[in-house]
Amino acid sequence: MSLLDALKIGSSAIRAANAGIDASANNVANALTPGYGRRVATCVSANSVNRAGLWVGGGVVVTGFQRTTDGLLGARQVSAAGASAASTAYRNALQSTEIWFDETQVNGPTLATAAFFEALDASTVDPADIGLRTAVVNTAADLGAKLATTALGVTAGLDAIEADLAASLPQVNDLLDQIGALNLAVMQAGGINSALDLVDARDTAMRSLAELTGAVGSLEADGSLSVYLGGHCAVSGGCPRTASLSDASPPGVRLSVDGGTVDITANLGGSWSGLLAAHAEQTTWLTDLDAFAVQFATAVNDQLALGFDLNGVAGGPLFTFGTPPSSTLSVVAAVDDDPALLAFAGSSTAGPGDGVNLAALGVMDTAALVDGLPPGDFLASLTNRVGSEVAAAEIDADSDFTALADLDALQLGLSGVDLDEEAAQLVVWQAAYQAAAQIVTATQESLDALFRIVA
Amino acid sequence: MMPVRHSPLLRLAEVTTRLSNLQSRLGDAQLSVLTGQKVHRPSDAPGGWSRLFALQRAMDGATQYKANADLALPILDTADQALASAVDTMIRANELAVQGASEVLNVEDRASIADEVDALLEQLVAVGNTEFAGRFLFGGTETRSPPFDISGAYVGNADLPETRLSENGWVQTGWSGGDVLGSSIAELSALSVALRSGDAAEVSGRLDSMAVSFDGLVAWQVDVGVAWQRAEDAGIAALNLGPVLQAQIDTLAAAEPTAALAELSALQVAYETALAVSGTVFDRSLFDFLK
Repeated sequence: MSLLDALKIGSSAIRAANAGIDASANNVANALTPGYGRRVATCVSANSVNRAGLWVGGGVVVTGFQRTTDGLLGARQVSAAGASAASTAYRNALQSTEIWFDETQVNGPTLATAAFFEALDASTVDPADIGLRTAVVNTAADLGAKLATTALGVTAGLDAIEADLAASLPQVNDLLDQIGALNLAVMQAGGINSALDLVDARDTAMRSLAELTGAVGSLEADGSLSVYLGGHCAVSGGCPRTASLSDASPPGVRLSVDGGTVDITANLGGSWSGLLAAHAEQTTWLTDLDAFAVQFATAVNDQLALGFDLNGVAGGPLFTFGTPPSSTLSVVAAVDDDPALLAFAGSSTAGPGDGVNLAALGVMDTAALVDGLPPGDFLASLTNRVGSEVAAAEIDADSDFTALADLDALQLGLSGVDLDEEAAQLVVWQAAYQAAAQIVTATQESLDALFRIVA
Repeated sequence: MMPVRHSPLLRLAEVTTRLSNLQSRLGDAQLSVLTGQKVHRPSDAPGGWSRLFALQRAMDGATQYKANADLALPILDTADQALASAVDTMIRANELAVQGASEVLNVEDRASIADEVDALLEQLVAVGNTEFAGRFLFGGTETRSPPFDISGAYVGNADLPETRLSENGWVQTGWSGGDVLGSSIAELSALSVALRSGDAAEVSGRLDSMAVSFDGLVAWQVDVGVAWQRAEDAGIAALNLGPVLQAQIDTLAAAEPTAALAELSALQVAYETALAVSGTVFDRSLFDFLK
C-alpha cells in the first residue's frame, strides 16, 4: 500500500462524511416539509486493490442518497387519504345542510305543521271567527315559508356540491398533468433513486389526487407512476388523460380515452365520491320535502273541497304549489285575502258556526297523509334521518381520519426527520470527517517527510 | 422492528389534531352553557328527533287545548247562567199557572197573570237569543243571527258546535234552542192562551206538560254543568301536562347547568394546558445541547 493509496482512502472518507453531513443538513432543512422523505447517504466499500500481493482497501464510495420510505405503506396512505377525504367531504356537505333541519331555536316545517293544526283546533271554539280563521291562514303561509326555507337550503347545498366538483376539476387535471410531467423527469433522471426530490413532489401530487378522486398509483419498473382513476388508467408514463364533468345534475365524471370519454363516476373515491354521495343523500331529503308538500297540500285541499265556506259556497283549496313543490308551497291568494273562504262547514246550510269539516281537518294531524305517516311524524322522521346520517358520517369521517393519521404517523416514524437523530448523525459524520481529515493530514506529513528525505 | 422517529411534522400533526379536537369540544361546551341546550342540530340527537318533536308537538297541543278550554269555559258559564235564568222563569211560570188554575180568579185576574206570562215568555225568548262575544249560543251552528224571532219561533238549526279540548275530547259549546227551550216556550205560549181563555181547567191541564218541560230544561242545565266540568278538567289536565312534557323534553335536549359549566371549565383548563405543552414540544432538540 502506498501513501497515495492512504491519501485516496482519506479523501474518499472525507467525501463520504461530506455526503452524510449534506444528507443530514438537507433533512434538517426539510424537517417541516410535507411529503419529504428522510434522506440517507448510501456508501459502499470501494474495491480493494492488490499491492504486491496484498489486497488493500480502496476506501469508500458514495453511491447516492435514498429516501427512507415504505412503498407499501405509501400505497396504503394514498388509499386511506382517498377514503378519509371521501368521508370528510360527505360529512362536511351533510353538516352544512343539516342546519336547515334544526328546529331547536327557530321553528321549521315540523313545528310549523303542528302550529297549523293547533290553529285549526283553536278555530273549533268559533269556526265563524275571522280572527281565528286568519290565524289558520297565517300558520298555513308560515308552514309554506318554513318548508321553502328548508328546501331552498337543501337545494343550495346541492348547488354548492356541484360548484365544489366543478371548481376542483381543473385541480384534478393539473395534478394528472403534474404527475405525467414528473414521471417523464424521473425516467429521464434514471429512476426513483436518481430523482428523490421529483419523487417527493410526485408522491405529494399523487396524494392530493387521491384525496380529490380516490385515484391509486402503481410504481413501474422505469420509475414512472401509473395512475388509475375510477378503474381506468389516467396517467401512463408521461401521458396524462383528462377528466371532465357532464352537464347533468349531479354531474357525471368522465375520463378521456382514445377517441372519446368513459364514465368513471361509479368507481370514484376521494372527496369527489363523498360529494356525489352527499348529493345523492340530500336529493332524497329534497324528494321527501317535495313528497310532503304535494301529499299534505293535496290532502288538506281535498278535505276542504268536501266542506263549505262562511258564505255557504263549496270549499276551494288552501294550498297551492308549483315546481319544485317544497320550495313553492303557499296559500291561495284568494283565501289569504279572505279567510272566510276556508271551508270549515260540513254543509252549505249549516250556518257559520258549523265546524264539521273543520273537525275533519283538525284530526288530519294524526292521519297517515304522507307516505303512510301523519304529516308531523313524516317530517320528524326526515329530521331523524338527517340527524342519524350526519352523526354516522361524523363517526365515519373521524374513523377514517384516525386510520389515515395512524398511517401518516407510521410513515413519518419511518421517513420523517427526527432532529435529535439528525443532530447525532451530524456528530457522527463530523467525527468521521475529522478522522478522515486526520488520515489526509498524517499522509501528507508522511509524504512531506519523504519528500524532505528525497530532497 | 420499524424505527420510530419523532418528526416535528408528526408532532405538529398530533398537536394540531388534539388542539382542534379540544377547540371543537370547547365550542360545543360553550354553546351548551350559553343556550342551556345540549341538542343544537339534528345530529346531536340522532334517532331522538321523532320523540323530541312528538313531545314538543304534544306540549304545544296542550297549550292550545288549555287556551281552548279557557275560551270554552266562559261560553259554558254564559249558557249555564242563561239556563238558570230559564229555569227560574219556568218556576215563576209554574207558580203563575197554579194561580191561574184557581177557580176563584175572574177573567181580569187571569188576563193579568197572562200578561206576566207573556213577559216571562219574552224573557225565555231572550234567553234563547243569549250571545257571547257576538255569538248566539242557542242557534245550533247558526251562530251569527238570533235563533228565536220575536214570536218565539226557532229559526236556528239542530247542528251542534263543538270545541276541541284534547286529541280525542270535544265539548259542546253551542246548543239547538229548539231542543233546549222550544218546549218551554211553547208551554208558556199555551199557558198564556189558556189564561186568556179564562178556562181554569185548561190552565190546570198545562201544569203536567209544563213540569215535563221544566225537567227537560233542568236536564239541559245539568248537561251544560257537566260540559263545564269537562272543560275545566281538560284545561287543568292540559296545564298539568305542560311541565311533565317540558321535563321530558329537558331530559332529551337540555344541558344540566352544573355539568355543562364543569365540563366547560375542565375543557378550558385542558385547552390552556395543551397550548402550553404544545409550545414546549418544539422548544428543544439535541441541537440545543451540542456546543
